[in-house]
Amino acid sequence: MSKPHSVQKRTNITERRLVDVLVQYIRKTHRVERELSVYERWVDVAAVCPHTNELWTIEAKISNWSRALAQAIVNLAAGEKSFIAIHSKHIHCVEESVLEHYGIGLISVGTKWDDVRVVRDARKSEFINQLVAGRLKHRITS
Amino acid sequence: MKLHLRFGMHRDVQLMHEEKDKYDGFVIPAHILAHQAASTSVFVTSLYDRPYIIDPMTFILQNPKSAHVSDAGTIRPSVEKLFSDYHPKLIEKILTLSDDQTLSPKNYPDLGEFCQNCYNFQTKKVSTEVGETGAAKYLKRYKKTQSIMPRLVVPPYFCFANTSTDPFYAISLECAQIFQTKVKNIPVAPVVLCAPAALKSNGVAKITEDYAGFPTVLLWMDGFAQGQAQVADIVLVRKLIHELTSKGVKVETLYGGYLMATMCFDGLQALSHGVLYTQHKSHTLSPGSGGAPERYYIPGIWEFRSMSQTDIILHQHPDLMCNCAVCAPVLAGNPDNIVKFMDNPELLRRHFLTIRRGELDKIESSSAKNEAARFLSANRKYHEAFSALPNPDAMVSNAPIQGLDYLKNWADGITATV
Repeated sequence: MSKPHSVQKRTNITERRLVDVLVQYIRKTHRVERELSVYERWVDVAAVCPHTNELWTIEAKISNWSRALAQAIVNLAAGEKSFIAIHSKHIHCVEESVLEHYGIGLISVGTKWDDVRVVRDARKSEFINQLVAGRLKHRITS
Repeated sequence: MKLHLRFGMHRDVQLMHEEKDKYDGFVIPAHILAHQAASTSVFVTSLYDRPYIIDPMTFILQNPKSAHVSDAGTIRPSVEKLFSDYHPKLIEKILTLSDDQTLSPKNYPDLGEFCQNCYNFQTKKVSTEVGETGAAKYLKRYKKTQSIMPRLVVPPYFCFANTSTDPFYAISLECAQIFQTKVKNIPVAPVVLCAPAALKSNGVAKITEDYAGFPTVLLWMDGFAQGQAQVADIVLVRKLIHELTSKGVKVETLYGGYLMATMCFDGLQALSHGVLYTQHKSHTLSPGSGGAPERYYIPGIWEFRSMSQTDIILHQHPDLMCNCAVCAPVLAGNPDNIVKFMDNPELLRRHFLTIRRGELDKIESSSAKNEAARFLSANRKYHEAFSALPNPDAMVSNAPIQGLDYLKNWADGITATV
């Protein structure tokens, strides 16, 4: 069962393309899975760093950063760090002070391969559920 | 305060047998009984020590034809069987409609015949099925082989927008009066189905006047989602309960959550809902549209939340961890263990029933003032954390009330003078 992909009409870029670029980039340093089910939800991208065993969860949206943020806050229970990924054309719309408040990281993603930039790192989650995170890590690394 | 569980899915059968001490009676939707007649009849008969009613579900007729039609283009089997039991020509009439058309009240069958068939369905369907399907062998394990009658019979009812001009108000009342005239051996309990807006102006007075002669009235406040309830609407619903009770009518609800339970201070005698679902319901929703997602009832906010939201909330506020007989051994003081409820969703249902029973047992010794103070206290402590989460949670969309602000509305609504 796969999640429906939203399409941003104005920029004519699909969320899928955004995630493709993001995943290709993160794969260089992390073990990555996309569309992982956590409880009743789907996490767009989950990545485990093989050196630190740290789990990142990433919610990708073309421009609707507040919707991505709402999902990212829930993801604080699922991994050590929670990010939102927004298309580079819309990255200036994101209110970073709000992300700072919740400790959510921000990633800018373009349409070309490797056009990925971590704009702000995420704080380590205080609300992580170790059992959930452990299960996700196992699914990603095994 | 009494709790009547609404039967919705056959996965609830075992739970309802094992947790009989948690509820006082149950409600069987007629379309389920019509569609899964043998198994539902066995279930009803097996719970012989719990009184039941059969909800005739006649409001379905108000939905457009498209709501009755399955993806395959045929009438949904449950609707077809139910309406065939109610009147042989109902399905024929529905099939002549275009997809977005609803059956006009003037095309409804003769109300006398309709009421008779509806009464027959409620009083004979279970016993006929138990007698004819060879179900006795299944019933032996329950030491019961004969069905019992419902505790109340429910006349056909429909949703109305107002009491003055909407023909559905008049039809519902006429059906109730036909039942009252003809039925002698079982109490008649009509359903008043409307949104709180229909109670404005003269609505409460008119309903009270028209329904004062019935021993019991079942209220269904259409789409009255407690997490989105406005103060004025809460007051109107309370007023109706208060007025009917003052006329000697026993008032119960067909759907409701904790907000409705607080209306015991106005005379409400019983609450009804499913296990984890239907604390509110809109009459426009088609029956058989699927089960509710697994979710956790957080007693400290008197509401359900999705499992993912519950996880983050319990990590932010461990004091919201439930200490009931179901949760205490699972959570063991560690919010990480909330994921174990997802591994075994049966625990979600048992937890909810345990908590709801406790809530209804305690509420009658409380007061509106005390409950309002509890709502405001919870709002102060937890609102910030909840308002950061996706609002609303899975069940309601485009909701204007954020976080736990509904608790402020509850506090104002239940302490206002009616």
